[in-house]
Amino acid sequence: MRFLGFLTRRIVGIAAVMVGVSIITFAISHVIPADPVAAALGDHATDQQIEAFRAEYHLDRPLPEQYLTYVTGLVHGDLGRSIRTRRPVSDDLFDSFPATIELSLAALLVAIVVGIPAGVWSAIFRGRLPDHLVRLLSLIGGSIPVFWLGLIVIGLFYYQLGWLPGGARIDTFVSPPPTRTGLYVVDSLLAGDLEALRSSLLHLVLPALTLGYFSTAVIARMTRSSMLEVLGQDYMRTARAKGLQERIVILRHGLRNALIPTVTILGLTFGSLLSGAVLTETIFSWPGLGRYATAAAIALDFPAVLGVTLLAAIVYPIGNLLVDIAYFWLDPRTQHG
Amino acid sequence: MASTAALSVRGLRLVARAPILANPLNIAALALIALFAACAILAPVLAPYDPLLQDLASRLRPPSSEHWLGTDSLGRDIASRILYGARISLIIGVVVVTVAGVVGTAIGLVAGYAGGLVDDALMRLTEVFLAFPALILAMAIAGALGPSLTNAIIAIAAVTWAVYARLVRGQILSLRRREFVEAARAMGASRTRIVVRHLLPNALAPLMIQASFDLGSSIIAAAGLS
Repeated sequence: MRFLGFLTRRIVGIAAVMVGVSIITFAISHVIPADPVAAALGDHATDQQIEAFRAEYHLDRPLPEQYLTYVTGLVHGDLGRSIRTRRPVSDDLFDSFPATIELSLAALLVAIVVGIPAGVWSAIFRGRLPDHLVRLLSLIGGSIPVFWLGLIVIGLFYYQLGWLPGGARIDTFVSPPPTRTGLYVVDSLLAGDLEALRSSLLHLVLPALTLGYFSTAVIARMTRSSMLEVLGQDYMRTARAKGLQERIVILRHGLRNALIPTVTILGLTFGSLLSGAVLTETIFSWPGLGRYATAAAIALDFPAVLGVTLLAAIVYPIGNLLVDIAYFWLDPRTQHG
Repeated sequence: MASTAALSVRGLRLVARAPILANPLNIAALALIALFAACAILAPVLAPYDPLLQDLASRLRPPSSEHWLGTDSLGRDIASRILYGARISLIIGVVVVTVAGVVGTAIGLVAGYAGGLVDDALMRLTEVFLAFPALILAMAIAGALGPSLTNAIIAIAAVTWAVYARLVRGQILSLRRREFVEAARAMGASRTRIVVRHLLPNALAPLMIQASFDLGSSIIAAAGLS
């Protein structure tokens, strides 16, 4: 019952965040001293064309009325029509979001599977070779710009060695699997299409590693730092004195208590990756949300920008909700009240 | 006079004994930072060329004794451009991390310690800023206030503070019921004292790590905005 109340409060919170984000984005879109009509129609549009365009996108109405029209549409599931692609924004998001989810989840998986064990390893061997190695790799991961790393891995693994594909979601000679989730890997599995599965997995490797390296570096450093604090605690000594295996002492008593900052960063990474990774998507020709959002912002395509922002306004609170649930699981004392 | 000298020698000894300087790696890191800062500050003296000087006859040259790091597509000397660029980059990195860190930490401390509705409201506020597209915000700020270094810093800091707020709040949630906090409370310590003297110092480690990563990423973000 208490959990239900908590969940209801958070769902109301998501709605509040969406309203806040939409109002601010809407207001800001009118502060920018640039004309979306000119951006869409060019300099040679006739007055008649401009008027028709303004009427089509309700730009001839007062700002509050424009917002109300937008919200009314939103309630009916209509996110408006993109100025740039001339398609419904919901269709555009439906096309680009699954690609972003697939890439983000793969990058997040890299960060979790590599980052957390690396952080634990580094803390256990503090001041020795494994620690120096993890810290050096983390330093590199945090310092290398993603656009440079992307180009280097494409140059090496695609151009020089020819081991992995350099871009896109699937080979041009392989038919994409029938759309069920929009995630090629999952859809290929569901369709039992091994050729598509192989191709989509191979296409995922380089962009996921490129995107995941920075997050892996942050997570490894966070985990190392918290583990170092935890390793010196009395309860760790007690656990060892009880005769528990070192593995259990480290994982159950140490790691569990050290994961709070790591989980916070994972939640934020989840949100930021799902909101689109512009550079990685651009370098690897990945047709995801980041490219769509940036193209929309540059073209002053405000219906599309609003659509992407609203999606982020759902994704971040969900990520943070999962983080808060994880806090409680890791350390029940985190609960208020 | 003698006592002042004795004090300053004692002060130097204390500095030398500080934990951060006990590790040779830390000294090397500090020396490297000092070197970068010195290069940035002394750019007008060290740079061999004007960073804006175009020489189309020597476009895209490889590194040589004439141009240490080669030239770009407009024939500008890359080494000179890096030296001058470091001045802006260092300012952006330090200011963004300081502003975002201070604002985010303050909000995270209040949210984590107060809990309840205050926590809910502040965390929803951070989510609004996290969800907000940085590019649009930067364009709006540049539109309203004009494009400048300060406005780029404002735009990046405006979307960065929320990360610190979430991190600090998470730390405070896990620390606020620890024995040392209960002990401070039992001894009659005020809320402010508990938060500032007992909770904050114990929540700093992840913030430092985040700040070290943000120093670099805010510079890249500023490069993207320009």
